[in-house]
Amino acid sequence: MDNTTLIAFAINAFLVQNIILTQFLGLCSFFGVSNKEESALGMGLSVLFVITVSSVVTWLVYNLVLVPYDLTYLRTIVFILIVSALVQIVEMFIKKVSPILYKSLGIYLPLITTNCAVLGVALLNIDNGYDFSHMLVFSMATAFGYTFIIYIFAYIRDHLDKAQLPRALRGVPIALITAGIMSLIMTGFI
Amino acid sequence: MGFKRTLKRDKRKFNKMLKTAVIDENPTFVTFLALCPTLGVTNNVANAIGMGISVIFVLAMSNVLVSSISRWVPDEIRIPVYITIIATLVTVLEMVMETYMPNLYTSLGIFLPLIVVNCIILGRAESFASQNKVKDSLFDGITVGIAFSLSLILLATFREILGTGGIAMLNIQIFSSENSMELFVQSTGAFLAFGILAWIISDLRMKQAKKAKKRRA
Amino acid sequence: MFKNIFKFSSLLFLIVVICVTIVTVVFEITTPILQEREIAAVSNSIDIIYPDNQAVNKLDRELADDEPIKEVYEVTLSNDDLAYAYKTSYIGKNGEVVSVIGISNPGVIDGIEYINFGETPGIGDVVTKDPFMSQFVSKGTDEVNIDLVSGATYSSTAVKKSVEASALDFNENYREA
Repeated sequence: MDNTTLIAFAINAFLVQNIILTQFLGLCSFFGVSNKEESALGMGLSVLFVITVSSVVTWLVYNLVLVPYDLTYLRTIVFILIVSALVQIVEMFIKKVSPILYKSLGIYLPLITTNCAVLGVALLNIDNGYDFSHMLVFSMATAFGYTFIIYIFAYIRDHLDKAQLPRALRGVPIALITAGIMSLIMTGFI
Repeated sequence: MGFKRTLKRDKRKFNKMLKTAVIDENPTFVTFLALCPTLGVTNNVANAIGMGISVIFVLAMSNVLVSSISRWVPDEIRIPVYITIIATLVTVLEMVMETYMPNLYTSLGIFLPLIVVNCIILGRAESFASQNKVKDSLFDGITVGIAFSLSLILLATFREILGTGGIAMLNIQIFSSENSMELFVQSTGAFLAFGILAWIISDLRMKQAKKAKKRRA
Repeated sequence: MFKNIFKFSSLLFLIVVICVTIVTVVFEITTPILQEREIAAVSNSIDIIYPDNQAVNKLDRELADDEPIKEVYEVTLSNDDLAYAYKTSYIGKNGEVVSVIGISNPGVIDGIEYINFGETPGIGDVVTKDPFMSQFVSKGTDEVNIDLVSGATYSSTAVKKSVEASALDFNENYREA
């Protein structure tokens, strides 16, 4: 694969096939956290980090352990255990190394284990049969796409909260409709 | 006759739990949990039913297993144990479905293994099954699963009719698919349809709450 | 402290072992059924492409893992001519596209049957319908050139790659001058 296709591939994963708006992964944290721009950025960056690390580890484990020993049917169990162990390790590591960072990211980390984006990207890497470079580009671009959209969305929601809306529409319903309009932008690329 | 009486009591309890799960604490439209599969698989009714049944199975089984072993599991490793149990159930379900229902297996795609991280399942294991008896946990799993499935089916019916003009699974065609809004079976429509339905339901709930308040006053 | 760590890890290990055992048992039960169905699907597809075949033999070929061609069958037709059926698999946008492609001398693509078409209906479906199919069915193996269907680039790439690989393999190995 030459570089141009890898760049196109990255843009595709970042925007066109955006993980939140077209793949419907990581929605719980998307609607749950993204009220304040700061916390959205914190969540986004933690997810970015965890997705990249866990994708690399799960890809390596899948291709170096599960495939040679014909154990691919165990992948769901193995992947979720890797992800939850990784999240724990990352949490402890950040706590030790940078208490300031831990203070801002700490509360989001335990939530990431059940964030479907992390397991979803790990599974998509395998299902789509990516090689190592594509896997790395795909997971990083996807995670950047997640952070990007969750950050923009926090900004929009901040303004929505100030708007005069019917009471029943406030909160999640208007957030869903806004997300729908955002995803309409992405369909233009297809 | 003790058996008959317990059966009757159980039935009443089940119905009460079902009402709570479907109406008062609906996991989809009230607490907005597990949004990923809700949006991802509701492009047609058949998928929604498949997903719903899968979740009922995993939720009921995991609740039963969690509540029967929670006594011996120390608090510190509670979550990894629950996750392992849920992942096992999901893998078993995946393999059975691939063997006996290959079409459903392909159309649910990645959302089938992702049942592992469905917040409803881990949430029920944490908040209900680990503190309650086996039978109650089974009831809880089934009722919450049914509530989730009904929400999925409602959303899928709405989307499929608007998006394709009918329901393919039941061979119903209400209007021609040429006049349908294909947008609704695509990703944009998932958000819009769910948003609109959530709006309507939240409006109805508010009106009902107001009425109940007035009646009490 | 260490006693606790040991207790926790051994308990967790025990549970993981039990779970893996259960999954393995289910896997051992379901795999033969799946394989059987896959074989039945291939022979069924060959029957559709060549309704009057006399015998089907699986050829012993060494094929690379990253090639779309997975299996090659030699089909004896009613007039004792030979045709070749390729079972191919290519990962498209929404999963694997598995197809059987029949090619006979003098290098004509006789038909394509899909075993697994893991695509969303509507978009990917285009490649199974006539305007797309007729682009290469009954065409020669030298003129394989498929227009990419807009909106279905991935799945049509999957079909294109499979057909190209089969045509190339046929020209190399079984073509009679």
